[in-house]
Amino acid sequence: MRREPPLGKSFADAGQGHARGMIIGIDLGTTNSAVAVWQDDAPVLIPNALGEMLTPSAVSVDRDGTTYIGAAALDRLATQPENTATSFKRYMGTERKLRLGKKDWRPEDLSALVLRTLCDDAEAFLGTRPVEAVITVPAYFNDRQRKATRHAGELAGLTVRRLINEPTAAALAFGLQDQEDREPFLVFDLGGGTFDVSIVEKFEGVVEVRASAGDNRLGGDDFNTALAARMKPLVDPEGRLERLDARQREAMLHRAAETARRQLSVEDRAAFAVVLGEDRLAAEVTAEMFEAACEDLLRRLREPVARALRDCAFDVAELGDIVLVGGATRMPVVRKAITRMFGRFPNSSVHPDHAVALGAAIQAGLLGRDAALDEIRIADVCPFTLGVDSVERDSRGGMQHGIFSPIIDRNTPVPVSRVSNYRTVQDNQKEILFNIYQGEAREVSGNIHLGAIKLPVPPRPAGEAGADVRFTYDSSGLLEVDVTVHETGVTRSLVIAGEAETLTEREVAARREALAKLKFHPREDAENVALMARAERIYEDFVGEERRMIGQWITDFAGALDSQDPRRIAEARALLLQQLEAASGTSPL
Amino acid sequence: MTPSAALRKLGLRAGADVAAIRKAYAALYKAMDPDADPEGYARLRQARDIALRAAKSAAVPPPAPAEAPEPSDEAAAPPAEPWLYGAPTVAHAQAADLPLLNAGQIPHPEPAPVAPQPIDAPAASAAALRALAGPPLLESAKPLRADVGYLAHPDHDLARLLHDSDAELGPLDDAGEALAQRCLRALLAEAATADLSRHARIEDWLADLLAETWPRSAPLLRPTAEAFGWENERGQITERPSIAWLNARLRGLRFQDKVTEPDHPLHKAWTELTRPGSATIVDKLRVQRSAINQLLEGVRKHFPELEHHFPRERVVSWGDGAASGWTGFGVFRIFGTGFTFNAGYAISIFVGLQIVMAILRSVAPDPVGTHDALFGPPAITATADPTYAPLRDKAVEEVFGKGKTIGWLRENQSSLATVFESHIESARSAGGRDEAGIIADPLEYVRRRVYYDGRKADVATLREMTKVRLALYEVARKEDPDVCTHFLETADMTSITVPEPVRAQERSLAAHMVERGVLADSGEPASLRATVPGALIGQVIKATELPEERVRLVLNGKGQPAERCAVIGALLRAALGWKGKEGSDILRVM
Repeated sequence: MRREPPLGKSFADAGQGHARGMIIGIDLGTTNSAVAVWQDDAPVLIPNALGEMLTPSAVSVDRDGTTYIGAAALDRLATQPENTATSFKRYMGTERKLRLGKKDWRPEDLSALVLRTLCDDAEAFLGTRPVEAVITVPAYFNDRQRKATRHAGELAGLTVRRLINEPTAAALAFGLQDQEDREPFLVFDLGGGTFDVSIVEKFEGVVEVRASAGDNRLGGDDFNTALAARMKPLVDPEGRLERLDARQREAMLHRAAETARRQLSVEDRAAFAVVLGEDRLAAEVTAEMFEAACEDLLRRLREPVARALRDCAFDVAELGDIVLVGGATRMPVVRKAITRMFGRFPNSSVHPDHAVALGAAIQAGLLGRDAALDEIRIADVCPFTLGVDSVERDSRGGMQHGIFSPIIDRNTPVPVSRVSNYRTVQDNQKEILFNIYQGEAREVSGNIHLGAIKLPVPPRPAGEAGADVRFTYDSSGLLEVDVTVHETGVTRSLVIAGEAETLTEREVAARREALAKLKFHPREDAENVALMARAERIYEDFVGEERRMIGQWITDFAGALDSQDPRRIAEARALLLQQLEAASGTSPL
Repeated sequence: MTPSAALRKLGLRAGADVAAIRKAYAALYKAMDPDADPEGYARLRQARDIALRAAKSAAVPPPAPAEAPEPSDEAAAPPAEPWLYGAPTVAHAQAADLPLLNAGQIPHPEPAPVAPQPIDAPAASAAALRALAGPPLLESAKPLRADVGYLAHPDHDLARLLHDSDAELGPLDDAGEALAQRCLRALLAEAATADLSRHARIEDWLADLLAETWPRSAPLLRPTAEAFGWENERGQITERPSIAWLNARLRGLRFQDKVTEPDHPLHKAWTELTRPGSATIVDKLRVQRSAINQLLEGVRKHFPELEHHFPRERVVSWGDGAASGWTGFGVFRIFGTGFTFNAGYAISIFVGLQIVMAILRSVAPDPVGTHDALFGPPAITATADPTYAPLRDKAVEEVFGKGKTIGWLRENQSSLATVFESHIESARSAGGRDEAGIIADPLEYVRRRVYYDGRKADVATLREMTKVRLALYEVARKEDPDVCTHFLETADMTSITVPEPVRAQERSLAAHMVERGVLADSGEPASLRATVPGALIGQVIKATELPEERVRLVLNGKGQPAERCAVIGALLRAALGWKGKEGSDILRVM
């Protein structure tokens, strides 16, 4: 039995001595993550240490530095909000750091920890540690967010063979349910933090994405925020919550909203409740109230759908199935909005939480050239416009700087290679500088800067010297830019790859080392750790006598754990589980 | 790539159906490595798309007359303002056919998924046509209907309120505004719960209505923009022209809100300029001239429509010359109604606006000049110096054809003769040019005149003008795409030598127009709006072999020069060959 922190061992091992084995497919979600693998001609989900297919994307740190990941970490959000992080995917690609305990964490670090646990689960399932992976990203993730994701994979000791778009993965899973061709269908993927829409066709084994659009800042979390904002004045008219630490308050309200939202998925009304000290502050929320509170969000769902349809010139009537993916599509308000939008009921034949991971496993099987997938091909699009910075002359003869000149239009099939040519704007200009951007804004300042190429040009009158700019965007999302000066034939290239821009190989190694030093509970303790965290969370939900009682159960369970007697621990665990189930039935939340 | 070339590329024979094309494509695609040959992949996809399009249009059986009429003139022309002037009697009769939408109620699914329409079929499927010509709007939202009976057709009411009479329209009165807001709320409520096609239809209709009836519609802009998220589109490459125009007005409204707050730095200047009458000396002491200039400059540059808040007299009294020639923003509104594409999207035709504006600009660089200034003579006045009479006659011959003299020109159109002479005079007195160089000036002037005035002339002249234009276009196209688009946008051919046969055509057209007296009228063209039938766009797509999206982009005033050149040329040609009134309307706008 292994007692040393598994993470440390694995980090040290990663990439060494392991034969190139299976490629795993990972859905790294805002709320939950999942891992799957292509096995015996089918994608198979891999359960975690608790036997569940979904691992919450949550990380929590103990006072002594022990790190919790998954269900235990999520439960600790209630008890240790200042030491717990969730929804960090929303900050991928930003400089924002999250403070847990005494340390600041980058979103990539936290994601790496989640990926790590998924690898542990895969190792337990497969018998060998996976070293290669396909990781999914929202289609509307921009280049920085994609880089951060790839980077998280590297920090977790994985070679990221490919990043694929979540709705594309879901489309694969949906499309491969049978051998039939499919008329254009629409994947509606509303996750915890991001929203994607893809229009996909399947024929002769080719799964072809026609257009993708999305909103990388819209997801289930926003519905929680909207509900909490609506309910806070009702449960707390005196503003008592204002006295709490902001993070604690947010965690409380978010959790109350999440609970109420789940309840509203099955019933017309729910209780929105927070426990403050010895008091329980609660109010009832009805489905109508909730719908009114998220009116704006529901409206925002329409825009990307309309855009995707416009981009591939399809009419709503031409679409076949509307395929729902992502946990947030379970909400009745969202389903109702979807039904209205398309004038028909959506298709729920894929599991909204599993489809993306399964699709990632199919892509992994494709990359591994699995014979069963010989006749399957996937054709995706580039969801963003790519281009360079340019100068235009306005009607008054003045120069307008910083105008975005697109080279690859959004929703162009990838791989793609396009050339545009540009001329100098000044007499005897010595060099041309191409700044490369991604985005949809007319002015480059509204877009994302990806890199720059500068090269000399022969001195000529304005407009007489020029250069060809070629953009090549391959199917794994790698953009290569080649610039050739017309007269001299001088060429310069830039590969805008998926590596982190700012970090050198050594820095990556150092970060990986730092993550490796973290302490973890061993995998076989996962159940106990998760149960303890859950008990502590439930304790917070109760007041008075009941709370005292739950406290007693926790003490008993802790005593059993201290005994280190496996049989006694197992019995105590079963007992506590039973007690908690009973208590939760009467939970005020 | 032609459809037959596309089929060859796929290894298929003529007459291959959709299934065969897909199969062949899939086999070729699976056999290649797209990453190693992205251009080959793009060509393969293009071949597939072209072949599919051709196969689909061939596969659709001739439509039953009642379902989808032939692309005859009447059928192919969707009503310009679908709901506004839709016949109400017919509308009510058909209302029962359409699913009713009420807030909170799940709509009936569409009868059956409509198969993709062939690109060159009539603009709209039967259902779409019915909806276009059908009832103004289906139902308003419940709460509104409960308390006001006359909101059964909020769009009708709203359109009537905003258009009102044909008199000079002031702002809405209070009661009118309240009713308009109610109608708008009903429409927005319906849009919020409607399916996406209807949502888009309501959105486009409102965008058009607000733009058409601006500034009367100003109070309705903000709620509408908010409901459809128009401002999220601002500054995007794909911002729709009509929305871009409204977004600019929205910013104007915002500015107006801010500037009317006392703490705004330009507040005093604003208050001063909005007063009636001339500014007195006391006024001028109270407000800084620099603030007045800053405000005027800013408003003219960013929110030209706000200038109507400043009485002209007031502005002039501050010594602003430009105020006298202010022509308002009428020019901007040309884009007007969109056309219905086969997929049901409305697209505004934007090319026309740019071209017309560019011509105005290139003829007279002063955009705020009066009409006379626009087409008036250059700064140097003509002196009928007899020494240069031979030169003048030669120029007239060069421009209008053999045997024509300055006397002939003066007899037929004296005003044009004066301008013509002054062009020669100024080119000559500038010095350094040979005869041909001097003649080039009046030639260019007449060429532009022909294209500008030809739009307003009778249909026969218009068509003649277009033929000549196409001939010149062919010449420009052979040069390079930049020259081509430059010509299409400005009618400027100075950089190229026009071959003699085309020159001869030009001469006889110009002479014809002079003799009919149509080269002198400098009034606004009668109509600058056009509806482009989907079938016509189908022809453009076929002719250019460009994907639909690219064509649409060009029609929205964007795209690469080569594509612009190809699409505009194809559109001119298609419009010339189009039998209905839309054809000539398009030619007038282009």
